[in-house]
Amino acid sequence: MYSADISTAEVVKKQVSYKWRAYISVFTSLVVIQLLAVLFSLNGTGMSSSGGMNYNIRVEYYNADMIMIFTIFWGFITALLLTTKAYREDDFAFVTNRTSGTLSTIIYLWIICSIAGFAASLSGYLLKVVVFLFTSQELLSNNGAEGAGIYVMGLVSLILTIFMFAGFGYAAGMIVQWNKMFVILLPVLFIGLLISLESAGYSMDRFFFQFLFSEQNFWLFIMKSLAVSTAAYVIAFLISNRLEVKR
Amino acid sequence: MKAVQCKEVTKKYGRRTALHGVSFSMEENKIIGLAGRNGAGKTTLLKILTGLLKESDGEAEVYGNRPFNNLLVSANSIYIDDQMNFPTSLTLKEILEEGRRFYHNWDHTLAMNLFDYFGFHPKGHHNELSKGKESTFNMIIGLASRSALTIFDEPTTGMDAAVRKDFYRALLKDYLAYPRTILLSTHHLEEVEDLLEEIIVLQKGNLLLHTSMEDMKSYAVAVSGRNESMPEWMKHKVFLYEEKQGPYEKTIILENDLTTVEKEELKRNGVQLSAVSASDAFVYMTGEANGKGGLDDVFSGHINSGSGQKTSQL
Amino acid sequence: MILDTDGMKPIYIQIAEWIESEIMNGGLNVDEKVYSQYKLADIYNINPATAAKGLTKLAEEGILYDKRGIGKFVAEGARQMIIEKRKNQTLKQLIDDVVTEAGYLQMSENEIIELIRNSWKGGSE
Repeated sequence: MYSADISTAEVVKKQVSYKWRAYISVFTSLVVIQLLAVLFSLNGTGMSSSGGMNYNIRVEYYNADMIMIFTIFWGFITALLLTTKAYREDDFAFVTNRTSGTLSTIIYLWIICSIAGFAASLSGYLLKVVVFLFTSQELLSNNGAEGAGIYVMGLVSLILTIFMFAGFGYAAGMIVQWNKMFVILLPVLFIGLLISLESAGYSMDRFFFQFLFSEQNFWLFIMKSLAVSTAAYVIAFLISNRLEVKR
Repeated sequence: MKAVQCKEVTKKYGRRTALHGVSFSMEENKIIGLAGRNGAGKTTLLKILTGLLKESDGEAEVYGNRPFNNLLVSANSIYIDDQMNFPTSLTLKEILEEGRRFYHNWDHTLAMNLFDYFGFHPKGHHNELSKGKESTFNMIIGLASRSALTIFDEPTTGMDAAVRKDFYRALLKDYLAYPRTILLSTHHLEEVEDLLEEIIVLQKGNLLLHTSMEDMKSYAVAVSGRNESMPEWMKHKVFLYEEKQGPYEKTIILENDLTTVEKEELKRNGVQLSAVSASDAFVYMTGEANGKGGLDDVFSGHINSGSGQKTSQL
Repeated sequence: MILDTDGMKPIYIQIAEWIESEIMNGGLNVDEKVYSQYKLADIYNINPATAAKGLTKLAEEGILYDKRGIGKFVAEGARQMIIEKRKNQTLKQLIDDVVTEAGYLQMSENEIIELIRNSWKGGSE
């Protein structure tokens, strides 16, 4: 009856596939949110026009920023939801401990973030198609000459960013599960920190964006975003190891 | 190997202490009952044993391992209660499939046979089941997992009498075929007392008793007869309960340490001796009423204090 | 046999008595294998340890004997042992009770013997 032959790796593998099957509905919300983003993007993000005697040029800029931002937000919320009571109890319905539960969730998040990133990049194309089909404008694409290398780098960066924000959501969720006070404290602390740093002359958001997104070196960006993600996931991991399962 | 060993296990929830240094051990492959009134700490103890909760003090061990956050304990034990949570997106059949993937001893044939026997729909969902059906489904998981330590915490909630009977029968038959350590907490002690080998009684977070079921069944004896026919030495016995039956007769429940001579004297006085079932003994030994009088006294006091007033309670 | 689960008599004793009855009425013969504790547990819906206790009791009394790893068997002279036991214990207890009751009713020894004699005749006719 008793078996001492249990490996964490094996259980983690089982749990990842269990979560894949159990939480298949996260993709419904992904599709909805990306379609919504495409819809919003159709307004265009900028416009310039110039004209002469007999002609009028109107340039509208469309880009897929909205899709990416929405997808990143989706990653954050999905990870946050996975820390709530109902989902954590789903973990404990079958064989698990905190370590395997958290590890499998992180791997699961990585998988769905990759899919989300890829889907977002496709949504970018969808946007172009929609603009092409439903507006009478000439389409001037600026990424025709980019090539596959640039596309892959963009995709990887996007996935890493979604994964990082999922990490923020996961860590924030765990902190809240650890102590419910943080539901209020966490946003207060975050905004308070922004404001106080701002008033002291540091711009937190600018610092953050400079640190990460203005990074021109692709590899350095990967290192930095992975480091930030790791920090978030380690925090979540440490907290989850202390959490009890109170039904 | 001991299936379970508890040394001074204490659990505090904030300021409230749910378990006060509980120590006991359980041999492998027995069916053991866990009894206690509401709030005695049964669920807390069981959740500590399966690693869902962490003891605040002391040590709990399951097959030699501390259960909290332990994969070995999780893989070799299962905790079934009436609040099991499964992913809402999975159908009942899919949940059983997941069970098969996770538990190394899982018997899928048994699971599916019981599933069909109790008339579940494969495409049904766990959150749509009635309370009794839900308990029945959870029970199937508990039995099919064949976990070395199988824990049922109030498994029969909402089940009707026929299903409860089926459950006990299934539990015994599967245990006979695949002996394992089964810990069963229930409020229906009278229904399971013949299934159990041992019983553990908790009271207000303390271990009151851990004994064989045979001893539990002869733990107490009921003595009833006329007041004047009770011998003098009866005063020195441990009374668990006393009830007046009319002005001249009474029934006394006392710990069963009567000698043959004492029994004969009682019989000669025309006093009746009768057995007290394990579940009745449990009620008497954990009765809040001891020393404070029974429920009747609560009401008589109430009526006296509220003289003339209508008692609107109840 | 239906177990009397509420009675004064422990279940393991009822199990032992049931096996004794089987031996007495020829259901189980000398050197025949007795039901295992698991089979008994299944039949009577009881814990196998309880059933085992009943079997052990009979083995200790010499009514059954043990074959390691196979099970318990009816011993040579089991019937005689059961008869002796019931004479010395069950019957004696019953008679004790009769005498006690007779004491309450202030009956004489002869009156009791007379009653038994009448009952005996009535039963054998």
